Amino acid sequence: MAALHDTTLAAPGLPARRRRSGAWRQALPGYLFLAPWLAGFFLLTLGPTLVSLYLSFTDFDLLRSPQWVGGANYERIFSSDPKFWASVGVTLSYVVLSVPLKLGFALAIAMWLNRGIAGLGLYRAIFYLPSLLGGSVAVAILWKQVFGYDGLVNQLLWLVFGVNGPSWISNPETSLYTLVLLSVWQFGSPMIIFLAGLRQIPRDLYEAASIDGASRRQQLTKITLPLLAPVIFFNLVLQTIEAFKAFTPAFIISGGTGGPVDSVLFYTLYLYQQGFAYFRMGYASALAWILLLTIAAFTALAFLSQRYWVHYEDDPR
Amino acid sequence: MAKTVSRRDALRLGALIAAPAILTLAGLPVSAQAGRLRISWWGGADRAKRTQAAIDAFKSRNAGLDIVPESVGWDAYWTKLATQVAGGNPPDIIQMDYRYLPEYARRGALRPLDDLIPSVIDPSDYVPSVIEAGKIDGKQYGIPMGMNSDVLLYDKTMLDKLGLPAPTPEMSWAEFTTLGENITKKANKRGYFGAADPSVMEPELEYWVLTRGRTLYDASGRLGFTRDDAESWLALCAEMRAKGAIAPADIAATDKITIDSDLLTTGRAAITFTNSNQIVGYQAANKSKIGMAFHPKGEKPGEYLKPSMMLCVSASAADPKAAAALIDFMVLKPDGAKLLGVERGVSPSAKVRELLAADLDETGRLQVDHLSALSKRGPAPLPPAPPKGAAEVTALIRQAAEKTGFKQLTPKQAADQLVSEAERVLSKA
Amino acid sequence: MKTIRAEGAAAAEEVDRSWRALPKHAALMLASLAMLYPLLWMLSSSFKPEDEIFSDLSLWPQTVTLMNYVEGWFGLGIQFGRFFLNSLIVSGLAVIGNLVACSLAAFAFARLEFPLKKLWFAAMLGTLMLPYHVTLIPQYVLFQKLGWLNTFWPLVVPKFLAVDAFFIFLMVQFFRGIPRELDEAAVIDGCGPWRIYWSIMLPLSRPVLAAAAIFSFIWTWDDFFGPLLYLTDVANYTVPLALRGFIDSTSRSAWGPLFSMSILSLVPVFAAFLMFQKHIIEGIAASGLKR
Repeated sequence: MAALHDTTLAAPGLPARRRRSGAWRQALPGYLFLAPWLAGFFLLTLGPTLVSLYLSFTDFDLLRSPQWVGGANYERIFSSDPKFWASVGVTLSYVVLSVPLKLGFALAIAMWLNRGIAGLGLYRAIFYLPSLLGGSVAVAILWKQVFGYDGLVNQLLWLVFGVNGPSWISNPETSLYTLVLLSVWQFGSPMIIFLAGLRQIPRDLYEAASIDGASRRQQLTKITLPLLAPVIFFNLVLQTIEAFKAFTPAFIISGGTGGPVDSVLFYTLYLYQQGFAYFRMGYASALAWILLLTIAAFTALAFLSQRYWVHYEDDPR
Repeated sequence: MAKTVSRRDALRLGALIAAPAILTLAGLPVSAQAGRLRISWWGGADRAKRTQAAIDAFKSRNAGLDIVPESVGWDAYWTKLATQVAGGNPPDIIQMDYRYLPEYARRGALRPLDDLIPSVIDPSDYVPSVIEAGKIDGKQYGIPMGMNSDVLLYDKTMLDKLGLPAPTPEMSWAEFTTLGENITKKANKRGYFGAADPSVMEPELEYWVLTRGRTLYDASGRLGFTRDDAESWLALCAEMRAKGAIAPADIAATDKITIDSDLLTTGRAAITFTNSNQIVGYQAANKSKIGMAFHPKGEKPGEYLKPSMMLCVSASAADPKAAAALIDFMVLKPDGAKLLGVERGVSPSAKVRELLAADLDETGRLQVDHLSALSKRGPAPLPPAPPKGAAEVTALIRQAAEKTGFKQLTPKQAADQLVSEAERVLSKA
Repeated sequence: MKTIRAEGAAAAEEVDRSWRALPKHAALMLASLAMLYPLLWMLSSSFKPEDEIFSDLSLWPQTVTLMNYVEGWFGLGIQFGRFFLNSLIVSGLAVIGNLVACSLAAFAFARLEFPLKKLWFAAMLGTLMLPYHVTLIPQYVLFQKLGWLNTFWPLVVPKFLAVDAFFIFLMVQFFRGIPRELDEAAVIDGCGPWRIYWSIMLPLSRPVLAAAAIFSFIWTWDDFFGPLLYLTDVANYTVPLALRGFIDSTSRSAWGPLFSMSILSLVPVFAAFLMFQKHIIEGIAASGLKR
């Protein structure tokens, strides 16, 4: 993460002398504002995180004290665990499919809902509804009703094409795609964030552009997208992280098995099985740290890419 | 002006952080106190109501005793329990499943109760094989609350409507297959089949190997069946699937071995395989009348009496005697046992069974009758307790069934894979 | 003096009420139907008798019963209102905690300069990347050592210590969208960082603060795992924990009461959404800095 974008710059115009001599006096406000987070980090987050790192080098069955085994867990993961690779494959496909689809959908709807149309508040609320349901039991039953043997999809197929569809949700070929659709369907959170971002774009920019005769398309590519870039960036990074860590959808839809035939064995679901069903918390911790490093690498790449497409209002020009 | 914080600013900042924290302090419940008895079980609302009534009755007889109930559904229960035990804060009384008993007992999380038997708990009139099932390495860790057996449940209303007979105790697998085929044919409903797919369920493989004189695991924790046992089972199920007697793989895959996803409940099959005490849940979720039957007969008996669930005392319980007294009250004392009824299975104690016989409802009556018929017919002996790694083997069994079901592997290939992977898992564990 | 006027939603939104909006409405309504379907199904199930819920999946109940609501409200031994109250306390405090603590940290990351900033920022993002399953047990031990089990503390205190980095990063991105000239003007006028945070950043960030409030409320309200581990006394249960008390995959479940109370539990969440979304839409127009 060394290449994080420089998030601030000292206010230009300050005398250089003050900047040097008052380094710590300048640091004080920063640390004061950061104090609650620092306290939380050191008191609540860091400890458990380090413990899990330690556990990843042990054999820990939850009930007896952990036994140090060195790198044995990591070695076994990479050398002789076919399920690990299966779960990596499933998770990568899920990330690659669900993140762009969900974000594209959320952005399109947010832009649409940002225009003047009667009853917008209602539509926004309705579109957020699926996200309210989250990972509740109802979602599992519902998805079966839509993608099951005589679910909504197959009824439509029968009506329109006269063909009998399979049980999409429980077929190893298709079950992952139904989960991708589930994630797209719950696009409420990124949509709200996009909306908030759109609302922050100064309206006079559009007015000025209209006067200059810019087309809608030009307004989109020259005003909306560039000014929305920090928010798009946020959603991209966070949704990718969330997709890598996705657990609940696969857990509720597959009843915790990851089946049929490991077709929705998400990485964290496998990790959970190892830790809590098979009592191998050391192994699960090692899996978790591999995931952390993978996500960190992806995130670092995203931050590196920022210089090409994300511009902040507070950047120097 | 430089960006420095004045003292006033710092104070404001401090106040902003502190105010909600103080607010938080005011309205929150106090932390756990010592000297109370915590009891934890899995189950739904019905079980919670019955258990709470028994707890209240016990409390009214033991003034000053505070009992804190903790209950949650099966899936969340084991995560919570593992966290509590690992975190050194287990409940005093733990409802335990047969499969997990060895895991917890052998890791020292439970307290042997031998010194409290028979002085506090006296299960002397229990069915011997059932009380035996609460023993690990010669010590009594679990007191069974009820007993059950693996059974067939069927949709009686549907079979009557189709004019087909209910499964009989002497039925063979071939006759069962014909029955399944007939149901599928006569019902003639897209997506409706004679029976659920037993191959995805571990207890059904166990039934199959028991009828062949083997067990899932032997006493030393190794695999107790052969490739041939597994292959013949997968081949039998493949044949039933091909004939349309049981549900195809993509429908079987929607069955998560829970009551609400079971093919009988979701209206996909007329016959399913489950534990006898779960008929209470099945009947509640189904409009049709549910009946109970024996499995198709094998060479040797394959059904046996087992504890539906047990109560254990945690190794760190502050007052094991009080905990044991509550267990005794719930499973053996008439007042407590009456309040719990047969919802957790038929009592292994002859006295309690007799006591409850008077006011059984229909699902209770079916259970009691079935288990006494099984006792007469001669159940299989209790198989050895599942070893460490058994949970993973259960997943492998389901995997092998799905791979044959989706025709990714032949029964032989799947059986080979199942046995070699299961052996690997068990040798590691 | 500089006046910030109507960034975002201008006061008057031109609403298109002409016939040209009709196809748009048609499309939106169709999409709404897909979104509403689960809710309608849950609503209809909440009026169905137990044995009809799974065997008959149609949206219209054959028999309508109100028993599920009665059973649900009283069925767990404690009236369901208690669980609503618990959830409201926890979620309400979570909103306050997240808004305060995360906006403070976000301001530091977005606008202030201090040593090791990049390190802290990376660490902050890093906390998002570890699956929570492997920190459950150490965290449980920690809260137990603090004597916080069976209290709301483990659910609330972390929010006041900005443990959820999602919100910090979200706010950083929005704070950085506010032109720096504003701070500089304020600095020249003699404002310290506190004034800039309080009088410039927060008022100009209403949309993102509202979004953060929505997410905090809803995610805390829906959280099952935290309450599952940390609350043991039924009287302390939050709504999702109580809801799960109705069902168990291995014994008799009370699906009707589950659905009826699930419907009721959507009401506060939906109200919170409507309350805060107004602020997203109004944007920052009304609160411009006029001097």
